[in-house]
Amino acid sequence: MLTLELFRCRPPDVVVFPRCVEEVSAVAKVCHKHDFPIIPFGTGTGLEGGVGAVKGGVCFSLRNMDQILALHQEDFDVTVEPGVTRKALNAYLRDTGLWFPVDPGADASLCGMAATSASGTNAVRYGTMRENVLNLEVVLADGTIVHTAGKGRRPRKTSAGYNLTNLFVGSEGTLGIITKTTLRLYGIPESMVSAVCSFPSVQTAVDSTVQILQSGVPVARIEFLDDVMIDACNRFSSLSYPVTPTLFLEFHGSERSLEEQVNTAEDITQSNGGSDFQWARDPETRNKLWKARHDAWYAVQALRPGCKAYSTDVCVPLSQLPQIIVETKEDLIENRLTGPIAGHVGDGNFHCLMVVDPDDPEELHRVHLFTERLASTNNATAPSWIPFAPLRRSHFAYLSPRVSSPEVEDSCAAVAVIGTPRDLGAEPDTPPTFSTTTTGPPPVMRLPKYLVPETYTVYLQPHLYTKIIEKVNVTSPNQTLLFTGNSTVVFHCVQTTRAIYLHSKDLTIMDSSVVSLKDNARLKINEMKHHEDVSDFLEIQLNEALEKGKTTVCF
Amino acid sequence: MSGRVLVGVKRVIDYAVKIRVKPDNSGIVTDGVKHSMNPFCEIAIEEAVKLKEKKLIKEVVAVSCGPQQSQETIRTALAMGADRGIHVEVTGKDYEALGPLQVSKIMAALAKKEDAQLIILGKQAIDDDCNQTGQMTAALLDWPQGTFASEVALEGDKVKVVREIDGGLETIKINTPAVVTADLRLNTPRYATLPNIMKAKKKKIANMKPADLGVDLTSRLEVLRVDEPPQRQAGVKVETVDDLVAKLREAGTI
Repeated sequence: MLTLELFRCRPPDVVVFPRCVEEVSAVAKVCHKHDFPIIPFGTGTGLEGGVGAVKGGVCFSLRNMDQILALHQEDFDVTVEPGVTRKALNAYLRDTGLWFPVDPGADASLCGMAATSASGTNAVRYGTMRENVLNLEVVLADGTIVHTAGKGRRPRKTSAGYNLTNLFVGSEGTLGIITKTTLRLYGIPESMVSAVCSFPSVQTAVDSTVQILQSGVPVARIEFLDDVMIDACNRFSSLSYPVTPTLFLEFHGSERSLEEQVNTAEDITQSNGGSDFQWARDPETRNKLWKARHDAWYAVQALRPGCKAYSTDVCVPLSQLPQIIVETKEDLIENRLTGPIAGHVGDGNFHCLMVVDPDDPEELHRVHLFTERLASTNNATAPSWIPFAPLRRSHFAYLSPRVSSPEVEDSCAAVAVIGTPRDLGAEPDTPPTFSTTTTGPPPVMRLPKYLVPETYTVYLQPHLYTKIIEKVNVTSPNQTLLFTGNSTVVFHCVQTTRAIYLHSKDLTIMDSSVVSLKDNARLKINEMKHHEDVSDFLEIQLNEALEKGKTTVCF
Repeated sequence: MSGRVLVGVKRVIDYAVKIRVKPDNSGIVTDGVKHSMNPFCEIAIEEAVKLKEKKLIKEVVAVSCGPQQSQETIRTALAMGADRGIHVEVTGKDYEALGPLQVSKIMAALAKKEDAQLIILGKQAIDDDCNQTGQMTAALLDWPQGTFASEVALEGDKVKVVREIDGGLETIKINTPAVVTADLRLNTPRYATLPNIMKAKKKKIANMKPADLGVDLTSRLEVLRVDEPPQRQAGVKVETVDDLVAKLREAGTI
């Protein structure tokens, strides 16, 4: 059941405002020494709870580092600090004929966009941050300053070797604090034309998209809005588009190439049953069109005043998009949910913007189940659930809920461990995320990695015949393979912790003890708790912490 | 009519830059600071280029008065669509003292020399906020003026101008030749695209000095001191309306 816990503000304990990378490094060293969580903060415009300080800590607000450092017009690159936003950079560049086209909607910090691998409406032609970041200067958790492609380097070409730049792009501040980013710039298009076309169905709209892409038209933006979304936008922005699935397109290029692009696109849409093909060249009309799309978030919330909006994000191969959208819409109707759909259909991506009443637990529950179903669709990258995001930072396995397989989660955890000398913000004594109130992402099944087992010794005695086992007062009926026994684990501690976790199901523990191998001392057990949920954890809380480097026996 | 439009473009400190006063209070820091075209001048150029695209005028000439760097501003105007540029070189002390009076004398002289049909200027510059050059130029030439224009329409040998005034919008019709100054809502200036910047490099910029136009640059103004505005004082938060009223009484405001 979704609770409001996840919409809560999570402020840090302290905010610092460093003015240069040396200050960032110095403060990071202090945080590292005292194990304080570090939260980098650019503009705070992200919608995924990325700046929530789940465990408190030190927030590094980088807004005072706001210089545009090195513009190389002929090389089409520029280096900026974290306080520079996308619009500020484009305003600075306006008389050079260059621009930075990645546009996630908000006026975000460019370094923040690198940290979240921002995408946006222009991605279909210009790519996302991953394709457009050439170099990064990053301060690691222990204060070390690294340049991911080499200091001052800005090569356009790639080479062999670890792609450190793209390791940090999208790492969401969990691997380091980005203090400079070198970006690839593009020429400002000579002209732009925006077009809108209505379609009788989702299928025809997506078919048109596929065909436009296949015909080689370098369409700059291609956005899909379903009928519910168009209706919301009509009301909010005082437009009057027909209430059916609609495509919004934008073309960039020279005057002549634009004519060709628009004609090709129009022919394709017509052949798919599209109607009301309108296009606009003048900036005023174009801006009105795209403002409607950027305001979709607010238009959606305006549908049901007092409700909260909650974004989901699904990306699938283009060929599967129509079917998935159709199924999603059927799901929404069946479950009486409000969920207008808008998406960057050129990338096979769509957002189902849920509007939900925060005071209606039943609706919240339906939304929760709906998003789970959405996540488990074939080939989908899991939605970036906004309310779930704050829990990410507390456990490395959830570097991003964007992945849907344990193998990938493990890789992320491994990378995170390599990338930071110590756990950033993970408190060893707290169990990984699961609780009896079942909030948040699916419970953790894997044992925490603080203790590494070395040997197991198991002794089992099955009772195949009826027997009364005195100790537990159990009568074993014939042939049920009830057994008694004991199990001994010798493990090595790699991280100070007070808890030992074992998987245990349907076992009645008679007696247990924990002994430190080093000095044969028996460690006192405070509490032994069996978790009655999917994780099947048996938690043994010790009176004192197990120290790193020690070997212990548990039986 | 010649069909020629003169547009004045001024090189100013970029609007996004944080201004700092020099330690000796003699002026503001300009070294190493990003400069660009005055935003209202951008709007003026855009309007002129639009008129040319509608084929209502034949040529757009961009004019700037200042040091060598003013040529960059003229190049931007050329990249936006102006046909040629005139750089009136003013340097050193003369440049520091350059104000609306001097510039309007230069514009008036150029208007006669180039046989201009229309002069379009920005309504004011964002560094001095004078809002005088357009008006003075019209007076020196004895031409009609349409200032704070939010709409300009050429109708034969007359110009219809919709002006933004305090009370609302005023529509006037003036004879050409005339001076028009551009206000914010006149248009949205286009970006200079790379191909146009390339083409602009080939367009001509004529160089001349104020003396060539017979203009005397002596200023009647002397800047005594430049200061930053006073630091904003912290406010006081109160819990209730009664507290607020009491505090206002204390401060003598009610």
